[in-house]
Amino acid sequence: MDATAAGTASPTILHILKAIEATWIGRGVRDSSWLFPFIESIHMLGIVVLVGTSILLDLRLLGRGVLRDRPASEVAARALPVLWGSFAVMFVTGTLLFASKAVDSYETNSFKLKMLGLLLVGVNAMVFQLGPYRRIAQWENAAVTPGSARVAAWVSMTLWIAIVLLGRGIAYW
Amino acid sequence: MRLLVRAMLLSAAALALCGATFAQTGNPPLPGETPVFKWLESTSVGTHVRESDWLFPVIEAVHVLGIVFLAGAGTLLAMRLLNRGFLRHKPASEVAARLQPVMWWSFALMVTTGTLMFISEAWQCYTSMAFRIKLGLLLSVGLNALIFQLGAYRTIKTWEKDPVAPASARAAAWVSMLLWVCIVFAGRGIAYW
Repeated sequence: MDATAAGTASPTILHILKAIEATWIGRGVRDSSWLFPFIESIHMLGIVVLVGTSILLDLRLLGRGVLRDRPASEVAARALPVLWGSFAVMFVTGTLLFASKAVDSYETNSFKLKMLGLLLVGVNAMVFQLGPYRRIAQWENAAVTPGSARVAAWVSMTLWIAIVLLGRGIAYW
Repeated sequence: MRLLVRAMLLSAAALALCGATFAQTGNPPLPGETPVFKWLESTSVGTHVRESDWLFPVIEAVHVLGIVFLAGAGTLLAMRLLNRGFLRHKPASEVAARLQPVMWWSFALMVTTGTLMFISEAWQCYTSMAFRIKLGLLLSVGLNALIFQLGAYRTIKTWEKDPVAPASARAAAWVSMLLWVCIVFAGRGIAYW
């Protein structure tokens, strides 16, 4: 039973995870024949919007891409609502998927690494917001963006690609 | 009227592909049908992808990543044709020109990863209703793009700075986005249906 498959989860955490799985949401998604893939598809469409928009912004921070002639602050201002909105969709759909198999997800390497990746992408965004973004008026029209902004952009793109790959990996590892 | 004709053309294309072989799912395979797919599965490529611990998952993950670029670029262009989104201040021809390489390269990636996955489980894919529908939808999205290329795109320089693009361009944009959404759902459905 689950005792042998418990793996790394401590009894307390295991108890919480099982409680999550037992909620009507968790049960509803798990017991349905179509709900899980349906929610998963919405989650995937969310990836297109979230990661796509993030890449657009990151390219701009590298002084590249189709928006390179727009001021960086304008691109950021237009991107932010889309990023927040799509992140909300990802969070909701992701939570629904997690609730249906909390124990398995918790013990899956890909899932844990993916969560770590998401944490790091958030930290990266924060570092950018508190750093180069504060002085954005000074460099938003410059041909070459500040080093710290470029680092943030590369880190962001790399992390998002890793997150997407790990997300698919949850089913396997 | 044009939208109706376009919708009919595209539905016909989508149905033609699934419908042509629809009768065969669930029925005993026609003589000569199974060996083709079994042969594909037995190739060294097919065998390696199928029997490896990591090859299929990695190919699949890259395939999902490709969706971001293909559907993402497609959506950016579609939104521009609807005079919305990040690129609405740019001339439509410039947007199309910049996004076309992205779309072609990512499409090549999708075809490559998709084919590799198909070869590894050819019979399962072939008999999957979701797979057939997905192929029909892909054909439709291609036809939609072709209709746009041969139609409104030809005169793009004349309307690219207008506040509203021609109706056929806007129809192409809506149809494109709708089809991509359906393709993603169909793709996910292959494992189940």
